Amino acid sequence: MKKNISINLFGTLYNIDEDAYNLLENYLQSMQRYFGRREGCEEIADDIEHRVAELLWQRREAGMTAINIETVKEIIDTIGNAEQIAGDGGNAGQGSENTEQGNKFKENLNQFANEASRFAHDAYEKSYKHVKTHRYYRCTTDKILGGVCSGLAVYTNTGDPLLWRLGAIALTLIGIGLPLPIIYIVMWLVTPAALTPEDRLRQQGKEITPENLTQQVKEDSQQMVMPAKETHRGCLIAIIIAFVIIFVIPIIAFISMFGRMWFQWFDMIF
Amino acid sequence: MDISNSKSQMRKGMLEYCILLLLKQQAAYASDIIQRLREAEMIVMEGTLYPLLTRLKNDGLLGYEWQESTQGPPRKYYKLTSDGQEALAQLNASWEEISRTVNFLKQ
Repeated sequence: MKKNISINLFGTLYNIDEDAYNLLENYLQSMQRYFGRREGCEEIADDIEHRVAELLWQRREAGMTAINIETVKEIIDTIGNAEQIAGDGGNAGQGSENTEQGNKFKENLNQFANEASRFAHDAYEKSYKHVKTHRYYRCTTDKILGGVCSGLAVYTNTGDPLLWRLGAIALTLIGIGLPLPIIYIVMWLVTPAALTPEDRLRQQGKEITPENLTQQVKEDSQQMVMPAKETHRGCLIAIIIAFVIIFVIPIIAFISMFGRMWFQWFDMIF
Repeated sequence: MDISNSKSQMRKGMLEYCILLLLKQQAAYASDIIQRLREAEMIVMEGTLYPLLTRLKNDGLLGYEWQESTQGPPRKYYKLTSDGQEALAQLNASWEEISRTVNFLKQ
Protein backbone atom coordinates (compact mmCIF):
# COMPACT_ATOMS: atom_id res chain seq x y z
CA MET A 1 0.00 0.00 0.00
CA LYS A 2 1.31 3.39 -0.93
CA LYS A 3 0.32 6.89 -0.07
CA ASN A 4 -1.10 8.68 -3.07
CA ILE A 5 -0.90 12.34 -3.96
CA SER A 6 -2.97 14.33 -6.38
CA ILE A 7 -1.08 16.74 -8.64
CA ASN A 8 -2.21 19.35 -11.12
CA LEU A 9 -0.17 19.50 -14.32
CA PHE A 10 -1.29 22.23 -16.70
CA GLY A 11 -4.86 21.93 -15.56
CA THR A 12 -5.17 18.14 -15.48
CA LEU A 13 -5.27 16.18 -12.25
CA TYR A 14 -3.19 13.05 -11.80
CA ASN A 15 -2.93 10.59 -8.96
CA ILE A 16 0.65 9.77 -8.23
CA ASP A 17 2.38 7.59 -5.62
CA GLU A 18 4.36 9.48 -3.06
CA ASP A 19 7.76 8.07 -4.04
CA ALA A 20 7.02 8.65 -7.72
CA TYR A 21 6.03 12.20 -6.87
CA ASN A 22 9.31 12.82 -5.07
CA LEU A 23 11.32 11.50 -7.99
CA LEU A 24 9.39 13.57 -10.51
CA GLU A 25 9.57 16.68 -8.39
CA ASN A 26 13.31 16.24 -7.91
CA TYR A 27 13.86 15.67 -11.61
CA LEU A 28 11.87 18.70 -12.70
CA GLN A 29 13.48 20.86 -10.06
CA SER A 30 16.99 19.93 -11.04
CA MET A 31 16.21 20.54 -14.72
CA GLN A 32 14.80 23.90 -13.65
CA ARG A 33 17.92 24.77 -11.73
CA TYR A 34 20.19 23.49 -14.47
CA PHE A 35 18.62 25.24 -17.43
CA GLY A 36 17.14 28.18 -15.53
CA ARG A 37 20.56 29.62 -14.84
CA ARG A 38 21.69 29.56 -18.43
CA GLU A 39 20.94 32.54 -20.55
CA GLY A 40 18.39 31.81 -23.24
CA CYS A 41 17.71 28.35 -21.82
CA GLU A 42 14.99 29.29 -19.35
CA GLU A 43 12.26 27.79 -21.50
CA ILE A 44 13.84 24.38 -21.78
CA ALA A 45 12.83 23.22 -18.32
CA ASP A 46 9.30 24.33 -19.11
CA ASP A 47 9.38 22.42 -22.40
CA ILE A 48 10.45 19.33 -20.49
CA GLU A 49 7.62 19.78 -18.02
CA HIS A 50 5.15 20.03 -20.88
CA ARG A 51 6.55 16.87 -22.36
CA VAL A 52 6.24 15.06 -19.05
CA ALA A 53 2.61 16.19 -18.85
CA GLU A 54 1.99 14.93 -22.36
CA LEU A 55 3.53 11.53 -21.67
CA LEU A 56 1.47 11.22 -18.50
CA TRP A 57 -1.64 12.15 -20.44
CA GLN A 58 -0.95 9.43 -22.99
CA ARG A 59 -0.55 6.86 -20.27
CA ARG A 60 -3.75 7.94 -18.62
CA GLU A 61 -5.61 7.66 -21.90
CA ALA A 62 -4.23 4.16 -22.12
CA GLY A 63 -5.92 3.32 -18.85
CA MET A 64 -3.35 4.01 -16.16
CA THR A 65 -5.06 5.17 -12.99
CA ALA A 66 -2.18 5.96 -10.65
CA ILE A 67 1.32 6.93 -11.62
CA ASN A 68 3.95 4.76 -9.98
CA ILE A 69 7.69 5.17 -9.73
CA GLU A 70 8.43 2.85 -12.65
CA THR A 71 6.35 5.06 -14.92
CA VAL A 72 8.24 8.14 -13.83
CA LYS A 73 11.58 6.42 -14.45
CA GLU A 74 10.39 5.40 -17.88
CA ILE A 75 9.40 8.96 -18.68
CA ILE A 76 12.69 10.34 -17.49
CA ASP A 77 14.51 7.84 -19.68
CA THR A 78 12.38 8.73 -22.68
CA ILE A 79 13.12 12.40 -22.42
CA GLY A 80 16.78 11.87 -21.87
CA ASN A 81 19.35 10.57 -20.74
CA ALA A 82 21.30 13.43 -20.84
CA GLU A 83 24.39 13.40 -22.68
CA GLN A 84 21.53 13.92 -25.02
CA ILE A 85 20.13 17.00 -23.38
CA ALA A 86 23.59 18.40 -23.03
CA GLY A 87 23.75 18.25 -26.79
CA ASP A 88 26.38 15.59 -27.14
CA GLY A 89 24.20 13.11 -28.93
CA GLY A 90 26.96 10.52 -28.73
CA ASN A 91 25.39 7.35 -30.02
CA ALA A 92 22.09 8.83 -31.04
CA GLY A 93 22.18 7.01 -34.34
CA GLN A 94 22.52 3.44 -33.23
CA GLY A 95 18.90 2.65 -33.88
CA SER A 96 19.23 2.97 -37.62
CA GLU A 97 22.42 0.99 -37.91
CA ASN A 98 21.02 -2.28 -39.16
CA THR A 99 18.62 -1.25 -41.84
CA GLU A 100 19.44 -0.83 -45.47
CA GLN A 101 17.84 2.56 -45.41
CA GLY A 102 19.81 3.45 -42.34
CA ASN A 103 23.04 2.72 -44.13
CA LYS A 104 22.08 4.77 -47.10
CA PHE A 105 21.11 7.52 -44.79
CA LYS A 106 24.43 7.36 -43.04
CA GLU A 107 26.19 7.64 -46.36
CA ASN A 108 24.27 10.79 -47.05
CA LEU A 109 25.13 11.96 -43.64
CA ASN A 110 28.79 11.43 -44.23
CA GLN A 111 28.55 13.64 -47.22
CA PHE A 112 27.38 16.52 -45.20
CA ALA A 113 30.77 17.69 -44.19
CA ASN A 114 32.33 19.62 -41.44
CA GLU A 115 31.43 23.20 -42.04
CA ALA A 116 27.96 22.99 -40.60
CA SER A 117 28.86 20.50 -37.95
CA ARG A 118 31.75 22.51 -36.68
CA PHE A 119 29.51 25.51 -36.41
CA ALA A 120 26.93 23.56 -34.47
CA HIS A 121 29.57 22.01 -32.27
CA ASP A 122 30.99 25.39 -31.29
CA ALA A 123 27.55 26.67 -30.46
CA TYR A 124 26.91 23.67 -28.24
CA GLU A 125 30.22 23.99 -26.51
CA LYS A 126 29.52 27.62 -25.80
CA SER A 127 26.07 27.15 -24.36
CA TYR A 128 26.71 23.98 -22.42
CA LYS A 129 30.05 24.35 -20.79
CA HIS A 130 30.05 22.41 -17.55
CA VAL A 131 31.87 23.45 -14.49
CA LYS A 132 33.41 20.67 -12.51
CA THR A 133 33.91 21.47 -8.89
CA HIS A 134 34.89 19.30 -5.99
CA ARG A 135 33.57 20.73 -2.76
CA TYR A 136 33.21 19.56 0.77
CA TYR A 137 29.64 19.12 2.00
CA ARG A 138 28.29 17.47 5.07
CA CYS A 139 26.23 14.39 4.35
CA THR A 140 22.57 14.73 5.17
CA THR A 141 21.70 11.18 4.31
CA ASP A 142 24.19 9.20 6.38
CA LYS A 143 24.83 10.95 9.62
CA ILE A 144 25.13 10.36 13.31
CA LEU A 145 25.57 13.94 14.49
CA GLY A 146 26.14 16.47 11.74
CA GLY A 147 27.34 14.26 8.91
CA VAL A 148 30.84 15.75 9.08
CA CYS A 149 32.61 12.37 8.99
CA SER A 150 30.45 10.84 6.27
CA GLY A 151 30.97 14.07 4.33
CA LEU A 152 34.70 13.50 4.56
CA ALA A 153 34.29 9.91 3.45
CA VAL A 154 32.34 10.96 0.36
CA TYR A 155 34.62 13.87 -0.41
CA THR A 156 37.78 11.81 -0.26
CA ASN A 157 36.03 8.85 -1.85
CA THR A 158 37.26 6.54 0.90
CA GLY A 159 34.06 4.64 1.15
CA ASP A 160 33.19 3.89 4.74
CA PRO A 161 32.45 6.79 7.08
CA LEU A 162 32.81 4.37 9.97
CA LEU A 163 36.61 4.56 9.60
CA TRP A 164 36.54 8.33 9.92
CA ARG A 165 34.25 8.16 12.94
CA LEU A 166 36.27 5.52 14.77
CA GLY A 167 39.48 7.34 13.87
CA ALA A 168 38.21 10.63 15.27
CA ILE A 169 36.98 9.02 18.49
CA ALA A 170 40.18 7.01 18.94
CA LEU A 171 42.39 10.05 18.39
CA THR A 172 40.35 12.02 20.89
CA LEU A 173 40.50 9.30 23.50
CA ILE A 174 44.25 8.76 23.32
CA GLY A 175 44.72 12.48 23.70
CA ILE A 176 46.29 13.45 20.34
CA GLY A 177 42.96 14.62 18.99
CA LEU A 178 41.73 16.58 21.96
CA PRO A 179 40.71 19.61 19.86
CA LEU A 180 38.79 17.36 17.46
CA PRO A 181 35.38 17.74 19.13
CA ILE A 182 35.68 21.50 18.84
CA ILE A 183 36.88 21.26 15.23
CA TYR A 184 33.92 18.97 14.61
CA ILE A 185 31.44 21.48 15.97
CA VAL A 186 33.05 24.32 14.02
CA MET A 187 32.88 22.30 10.81
CA TRP A 188 29.29 21.45 11.58
CA LEU A 189 28.52 25.14 11.90
CA VAL A 190 30.46 26.56 8.96
CA THR A 191 30.29 23.94 6.22
CA PRO A 192 27.16 23.54 4.11
CA ALA A 193 25.11 20.38 4.02
CA ALA A 194 24.54 18.57 0.72
CA LEU A 195 20.86 19.35 0.25
CA THR A 196 20.28 19.17 -3.51
CA PRO A 197 21.29 16.61 -6.13
CA GLU A 198 23.73 19.23 -7.46
CA ASP A 199 25.38 19.45 -4.06
CA ARG A 200 25.77 15.69 -3.97
CA LEU A 201 27.45 15.76 -7.39
CA ARG A 202 29.87 18.49 -6.35
CA GLN A 203 30.60 16.59 -3.18
CA GLN A 204 31.77 13.64 -5.26
CA GLY A 205 33.63 15.88 -7.67
CA LYS A 206 31.35 14.94 -10.56
CA GLU A 207 30.41 17.27 -13.36
CA ILE A 208 26.97 18.81 -13.20
CA THR A 209 25.41 17.69 -16.44
CA PRO A 210 21.79 16.81 -17.06
CA GLU A 211 22.92 13.20 -17.35
CA ASN A 212 24.65 13.10 -13.98
CA LEU A 213 21.79 15.05 -12.44
CA THR A 214 19.21 12.60 -13.72
CA GLN A 215 21.34 9.74 -12.46
CA GLN A 216 21.72 11.34 -9.06
CA VAL A 217 18.03 12.11 -8.77
CA LYS A 218 17.26 8.49 -9.50
CA GLU A 219 19.82 7.25 -6.99
CA ASP A 220 18.40 9.59 -4.37
CA SER A 221 14.96 8.20 -4.95
CA GLN A 222 16.30 4.69 -4.47
CA GLN A 223 17.82 5.66 -1.15
CA MET A 224 14.62 7.46 -0.22
CA VAL A 225 16.36 10.80 0.06
CA MET A 226 13.74 13.44 0.50
CA PRO A 227 14.43 16.98 -0.57
CA ALA A 228 15.93 18.04 2.72
CA LYS A 229 15.77 21.20 4.68
CA GLU A 230 18.54 21.70 7.11
CA THR A 231 18.49 23.58 10.35
CA HIS A 232 21.30 23.96 12.76
CA ARG A 233 19.16 22.81 15.63
CA GLY A 234 21.13 19.59 16.04
CA CYS A 235 24.35 21.52 16.24
CA LEU A 236 22.98 23.91 18.84
CA ILE A 237 21.91 20.99 20.99
CA ALA A 238 25.42 19.55 20.70
CA ILE A 239 26.92 22.89 21.74
CA ILE A 240 24.58 23.14 24.70
CA ILE A 241 25.51 19.62 25.78
CA ALA A 242 29.19 20.45 25.45
CA PHE A 243 28.62 23.63 27.44
CA VAL A 244 26.85 21.65 30.16
CA ILE A 245 29.68 19.14 30.33
CA ILE A 246 32.39 21.80 30.48
CA PHE A 247 30.78 24.31 32.85
CA VAL A 248 27.73 23.04 34.63
CA ILE A 249 29.10 19.73 35.87
CA PRO A 250 32.15 21.31 37.59
CA ILE A 251 29.83 23.86 39.18
CA ILE A 252 27.55 21.14 40.53
CA ALA A 253 30.54 19.20 41.73
CA PHE A 254 31.84 22.30 43.40
CA ILE A 255 28.51 23.05 45.05
CA SER A 256 28.10 19.52 46.28
CA MET A 257 31.62 19.51 47.67
CA PHE A 258 30.98 22.83 49.30
CA GLY A 259 27.71 21.50 50.69
CA ARG A 260 29.41 18.50 52.20
CA MET A 261 31.99 20.74 53.84
CA TRP A 262 29.21 22.84 55.20
CA PHE A 263 27.54 19.77 56.67
CA GLN A 264 30.78 18.61 58.25
CA TRP A 265 31.27 22.05 59.73
CA PHE A 266 27.69 21.97 60.97
CA ASP A 267 28.28 18.56 62.57
CA MET A 268 31.43 19.79 64.27
CA ILE A 269 29.71 22.73 65.94
CA PHE A 270 26.66 20.92 67.12
CA MET B 1 40.78 9.41 -34.83
CA ASP B 2 37.60 8.89 -32.92
CA ILE B 3 35.11 7.80 -35.56
CA SER B 4 32.03 7.80 -33.37
CA ASN B 5 32.82 11.32 -32.26
CA SER B 6 33.13 12.65 -35.79
CA LYS B 7 29.98 10.80 -36.74
CA SER B 8 28.09 12.46 -33.96
CA GLN B 9 29.54 15.82 -34.99
CA MET B 10 28.14 15.33 -38.47
CA ARG B 11 24.81 14.31 -37.07
CA LYS B 12 24.66 17.43 -34.99
CA GLY B 13 25.36 19.58 -37.98
CA MET B 14 22.68 17.74 -39.89
CA LEU B 15 20.07 17.90 -37.19
CA GLU B 16 19.69 21.63 -37.44
CA TYR B 17 19.30 21.44 -41.18
CA CYS B 18 16.81 18.60 -40.89
CA ILE B 19 14.65 20.51 -38.45
CA LEU B 20 14.58 23.56 -40.70
CA LEU B 21 13.65 21.35 -43.67
CA LEU B 22 10.93 19.70 -41.67
CA LEU B 23 9.42 22.92 -40.44
CA LYS B 24 9.44 24.43 -43.89
CA GLN B 25 6.51 22.22 -44.86
CA GLN B 26 4.36 22.98 -41.87
CA ALA B 27 4.42 24.17 -38.30
CA ALA B 28 4.96 21.42 -35.77
CA TYR B 29 5.39 20.90 -32.06
CA ALA B 30 8.18 19.01 -30.34
CA SER B 31 6.57 15.56 -30.33
CA ASP B 32 5.62 15.91 -34.02
CA ILE B 33 9.18 16.82 -34.84
CA ILE B 34 10.53 13.84 -32.94
CA GLN B 35 8.03 11.59 -34.69
CA ARG B 36 8.89 12.88 -38.14
CA LEU B 37 12.63 12.69 -37.54
CA ARG B 38 12.15 9.06 -36.50
CA GLU B 39 10.24 8.39 -39.68
CA ALA B 40 13.11 9.93 -41.61
CA GLU B 41 15.50 7.58 -39.76
CA MET B 42 17.18 10.45 -38.06
CA ILE B 43 17.18 8.99 -34.59
CA VAL B 44 17.29 11.61 -31.94
CA MET B 45 16.81 11.49 -28.22
CA GLU B 46 14.05 13.83 -27.23
CA GLY B 47 16.22 15.64 -24.78
CA THR B 48 18.53 16.86 -27.54
CA LEU B 49 15.72 18.58 -29.28
CA TYR B 50 14.58 21.07 -26.67
CA PRO B 51 17.86 22.92 -26.30
CA LEU B 52 18.26 22.93 -30.07
CA LEU B 53 14.79 24.34 -30.74
CA THR B 54 15.34 26.98 -28.10
CA ARG B 55 18.65 27.97 -29.62
CA LEU B 56 17.18 28.21 -33.12
CA LYS B 57 14.41 30.33 -31.68
CA ASN B 58 16.91 32.56 -29.88
CA ASP B 59 18.82 32.97 -33.13
CA GLY B 60 15.61 34.16 -34.75
CA LEU B 61 15.30 31.27 -37.21
CA LEU B 62 12.19 29.87 -35.58
CA GLY B 63 9.16 31.36 -33.94
CA TYR B 64 6.45 29.61 -32.01
CA GLU B 65 2.92 30.04 -30.82
CA TRP B 66 1.02 28.23 -28.11
CA GLN B 67 -1.98 26.16 -29.07
CA GLU B 68 -4.43 24.47 -26.76
CA SER B 69 -4.69 20.76 -27.25
CA THR B 70 -7.45 18.30 -26.54
CA GLN B 71 -4.77 15.63 -26.17
CA GLY B 72 -3.03 16.93 -23.09
CA PRO B 73 -1.17 20.10 -22.18
CA PRO B 74 -0.90 23.11 -24.51
CA ARG B 75 1.60 22.75 -27.31
CA LYS B 76 4.28 25.03 -28.67
CA TYR B 77 3.99 25.07 -32.45
CA TYR B 78 7.24 26.06 -34.09
CA LYS B 79 7.48 27.55 -37.53
CA LEU B 80 10.14 29.06 -39.75
CA THR B 81 10.63 32.82 -39.66
CA SER B 82 11.76 34.73 -42.71
CA ASP B 83 15.29 34.61 -41.30
CA GLY B 84 14.78 30.88 -41.00
CA GLN B 85 13.75 30.64 -44.66
CA GLU B 86 16.89 32.48 -45.61
CA ALA B 87 19.10 30.31 -43.44
CA LEU B 88 17.49 27.24 -44.95
CA ALA B 89 18.17 28.49 -48.46
CA GLN B 90 21.80 28.99 -47.52
CA LEU B 91 22.05 25.57 -45.97
CA ASN B 92 20.45 24.05 -49.05
CA ALA B 93 23.06 25.68 -51.20
CA SER B 94 25.81 24.62 -48.88
CA TRP B 95 24.50 21.05 -48.83
CA GLU B 96 24.58 20.98 -52.63
CA GLU B 97 28.08 22.29 -52.64
CA ILE B 98 29.34 19.84 -50.07
CA SER B 99 27.68 16.85 -51.63
CA ARG B 100 29.14 17.83 -55.00
CA THR B 101 32.57 18.06 -53.41
CA VAL B 102 32.26 14.73 -51.66
CA ASN B 103 30.86 13.00 -54.73
CA PHE B 104 33.69 14.40 -56.78
CA LEU B 105 36.29 13.17 -54.34
CA LYS B 106 34.70 9.76 -54.09
CA GLN B 107 35.12 9.03 -57.79
